[in-house]
Amino acid sequence: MNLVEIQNFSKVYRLGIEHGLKKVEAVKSISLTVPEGALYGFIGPNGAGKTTTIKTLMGLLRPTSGTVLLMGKNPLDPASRVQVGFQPEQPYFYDYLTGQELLSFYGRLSGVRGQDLSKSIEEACDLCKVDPSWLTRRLRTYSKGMSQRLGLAQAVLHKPKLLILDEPMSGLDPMGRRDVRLAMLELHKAGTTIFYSSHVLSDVEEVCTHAAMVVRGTLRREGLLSEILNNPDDPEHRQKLEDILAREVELA
Amino acid sequence: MRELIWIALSSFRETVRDKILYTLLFFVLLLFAFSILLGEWSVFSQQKVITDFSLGVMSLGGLAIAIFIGVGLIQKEIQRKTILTLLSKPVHRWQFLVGKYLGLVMVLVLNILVMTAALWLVLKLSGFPFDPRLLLASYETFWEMAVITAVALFFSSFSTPVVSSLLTFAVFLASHLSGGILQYLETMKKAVGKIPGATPLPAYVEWTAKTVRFALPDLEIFNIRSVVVHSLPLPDMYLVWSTLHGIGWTVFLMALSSVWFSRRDFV
Repeated sequence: MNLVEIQNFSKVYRLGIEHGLKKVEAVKSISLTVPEGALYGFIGPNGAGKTTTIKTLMGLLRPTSGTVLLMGKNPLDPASRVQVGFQPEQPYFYDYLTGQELLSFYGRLSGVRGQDLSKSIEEACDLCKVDPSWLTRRLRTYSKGMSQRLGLAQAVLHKPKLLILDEPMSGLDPMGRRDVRLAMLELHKAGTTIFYSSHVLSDVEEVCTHAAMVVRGTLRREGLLSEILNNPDDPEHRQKLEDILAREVELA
Repeated sequence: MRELIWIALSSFRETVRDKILYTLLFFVLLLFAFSILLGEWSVFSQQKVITDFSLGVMSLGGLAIAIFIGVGLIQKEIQRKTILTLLSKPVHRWQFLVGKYLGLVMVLVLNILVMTAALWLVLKLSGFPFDPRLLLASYETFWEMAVITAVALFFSSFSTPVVSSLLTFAVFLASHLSGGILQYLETMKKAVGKIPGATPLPAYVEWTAKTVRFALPDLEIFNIRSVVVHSLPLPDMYLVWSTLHGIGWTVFLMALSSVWFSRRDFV
């Protein structure tokens, strides 16, 4: 079963009056599928359309054309998000809340209640290396790295079937990146399908089963990572994502 | 339904932890204290001056809360991008909007209670009894605040905070003044008929005034200050009708905001 199905998806933004109401095509007819059980890396340079695609998947943006299905449903339908966890790029939280209050709030909205809630918070914090002592502090006192870890914890605390992460390593130090990578691997091992965007290509090479490469809004490669890395049609036999991406940027 | 309650409680918590609320409340209470001096200086009954002035301050305090907090309620979520995480949960956009509104309504109830208690204290300190009908005036002020907050939320669902604030203030003014303007135009019309050679006002003036009067909520319906201050009788069913007016406009504005909001992209 495919948990994400995108067919000929395009997104056009209309710029403001100060830009003469110009239109910008951020994503141009891309198609990809995320099968159940995949650890899917979504890569591309800045401005390639990764965040636009992810936001559309989460129902935050409407597609201009094409079909986008999340868990087999229209992403605008809240039912499609019941078994999905999401961490936006550089998560921003309510700074007047404490970590505990924030996780309880998001947990309840995700359908976790009663005694299960405290247990889920504990497990999520443990997995994402969120120190329990942080939870009593107001979020305005959190560093970027702490916020990022809390962002991951809120995304996983209802044990979603599908986890969608937008640049989960962004702003983290090497230890933080390692912790997030290990958490993702543990979740994947436990059966969670993960779709995440990243600039850290070495991580994608190391952990992903599938990948998609977007450049300037167009899909350049998609499928099993092993097939992308061992493309028989590539005369130069590039076997590093960095080299393949650099080539695709040149060609686009 | 539960999602709505969680969002409302979070919105309530957000607002009661906002310093701006206490700043506004502080100024309102300061003006209440000022009403004692005003009563002493006035040639009219001190009790009436204190009551009338304080109830007026309550209404303006509600407007300030609607503008400074109501407008920012949604805009802050968008600007700080907290909305991205919240709307990625299995909640409808209308639940988010209505939940935020209900949270602020809870704060309004709390404010009205504090302001009414302050009025009671001011009257007690000045040696006057607290007329129980003042509670009716507070009740009506609550509805005025609830409607103007819904107006603020409606504008902020599709425009910038500055524009939303200006539009909300414009609605407040137009709504309170339109009834009086229509009455004035009616008087002018009668007077013109009696004065030979006087030219009547162009038809579009009356048409515009009537359109404004009926296209906007009638906030003047919630103003029973003079009735309470001068111990005049309230018409039968007045409270029922004014409550229905408040509920009707709130539901209508929230429905309209939800439609706008559900079509928005969160870039």
